[in-house]
Amino acid sequence: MERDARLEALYHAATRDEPPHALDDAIRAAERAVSSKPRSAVSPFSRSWGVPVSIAAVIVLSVSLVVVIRDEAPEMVKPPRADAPAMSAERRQEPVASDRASSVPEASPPPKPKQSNGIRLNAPQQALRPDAGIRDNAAPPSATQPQKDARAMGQLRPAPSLLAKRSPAEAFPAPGAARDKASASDEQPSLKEEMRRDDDAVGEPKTRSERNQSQAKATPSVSAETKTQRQRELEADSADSTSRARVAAAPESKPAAAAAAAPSVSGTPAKPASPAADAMQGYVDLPPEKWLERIADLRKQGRIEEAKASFTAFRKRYPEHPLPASLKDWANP
Amino acid sequence: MREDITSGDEVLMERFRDGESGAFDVLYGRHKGGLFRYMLRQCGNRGVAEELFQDVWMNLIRARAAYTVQAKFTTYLYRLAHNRLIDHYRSQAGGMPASFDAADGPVLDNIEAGRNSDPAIGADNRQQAARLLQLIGELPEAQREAFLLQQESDMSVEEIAKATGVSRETAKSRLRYAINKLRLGMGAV
Repeated sequence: MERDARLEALYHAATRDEPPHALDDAIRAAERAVSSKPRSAVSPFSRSWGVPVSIAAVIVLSVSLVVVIRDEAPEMVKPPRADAPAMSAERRQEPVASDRASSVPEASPPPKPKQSNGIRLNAPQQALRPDAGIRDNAAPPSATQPQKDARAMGQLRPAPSLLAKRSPAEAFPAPGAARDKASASDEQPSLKEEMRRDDDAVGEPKTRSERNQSQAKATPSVSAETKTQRQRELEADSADSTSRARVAAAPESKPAAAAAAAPSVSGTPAKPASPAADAMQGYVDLPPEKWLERIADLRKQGRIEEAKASFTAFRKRYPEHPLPASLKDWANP
Repeated sequence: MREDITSGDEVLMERFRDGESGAFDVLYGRHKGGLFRYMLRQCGNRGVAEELFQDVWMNLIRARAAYTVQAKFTTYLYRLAHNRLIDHYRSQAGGMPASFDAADGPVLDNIEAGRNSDPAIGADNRQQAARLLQLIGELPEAQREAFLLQQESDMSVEEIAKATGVSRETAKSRLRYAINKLRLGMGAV
């Protein structure tokens, strides 16, 4: 029904139209032009290897990025410290609270302090430090602070600043000592001990000066920033002691003056210490000029014994340093 | 349904898609006449037919990378031609011919008897051929297209339906109307 042989024969006999040759040539030329363009632009190598090479490059970049991030991650979480290995050793001795164990990986290797890459991230470090909020916002721990607070702080990692104040013997106790501490207390004993010791340290000038001295010896690689801060503290303490000494009567006994010179924040009585040793230990970290100024001040105040002891220590430490005119008479005893 | 997709045209087109320029020459040689006549009969203007013819082949060249064998090559080729033709119709002042909108096309049961009743036309083949071409030109576009696709590419009703984007029944109806009219016009009823 849909075909008619007679019509078909008549139609094919009637129509023999063909496109002109010029049109044929134009179409064939266009085909060659279009077909040859992509073939020349895309080489067989890139067509066959382009995708695999791209995928491999992406994988390599991703893996290297992950490795770099993994290396940098501990630095971002924990501030780089020279005492990190010792800290982790100490922490391994402590009984681990369940929630702390889940948040801080105990077996993680100590972060290596890297100076070369220039990535320091100080603000994030402060933010990520578990004790940052406690140190910045909370008041300094006092003897009357509730035990609850100390326990809550015990859940967290002790602040590096707390550790930095302590002598190496206190900050990095021997494993046996730490084990003894752990067994002596119920929960988080070493941290509680640290808290208590920190409180005591505020009121004990002798311990503080000893700490300064021993830390200066034990950690010579303390950063300049920390040193400057400590110097500022010492200067403030010294200024305080000087003013207190001036307030105190001049004919007062020397031990009393030395006791007054010691900073006593918490009001606890200072341990009796020899003034010469105090004077010597307090000025060890000062620059020589400042030290000499202090010696001259002591001499002017009539604290001759302290001044001489300090001067002797100064000469031991800086034998070739030129002396001011006020102290030249002591140069050749 | 005749789906002989293993015929040579499809293979040639795949080879052309893969960069073999010689395959295109073979394909072009095989189908250039039928496609050109299809365009010529549909447009009625040689210049426009040449332009549309060239456009169809250029579209095929550009789209070769996306070609996959889903039907006969002729169905693919005339589908491109049909689409180009529709674009041409739409760009004209008259717009799309009405015959493409009607499912079965205009009902013209009788072609004027006076046209095909002249016995002198039937006597001369050349005159009959000219008469046939005239009648083809007078067919509605959709019916003419169905007839031309059948004659130039040897398509079945299903393939015509696929190439023109209509249902099989619509294609069959258009083709039936076209043949009936041509028979009537040629005095063969």
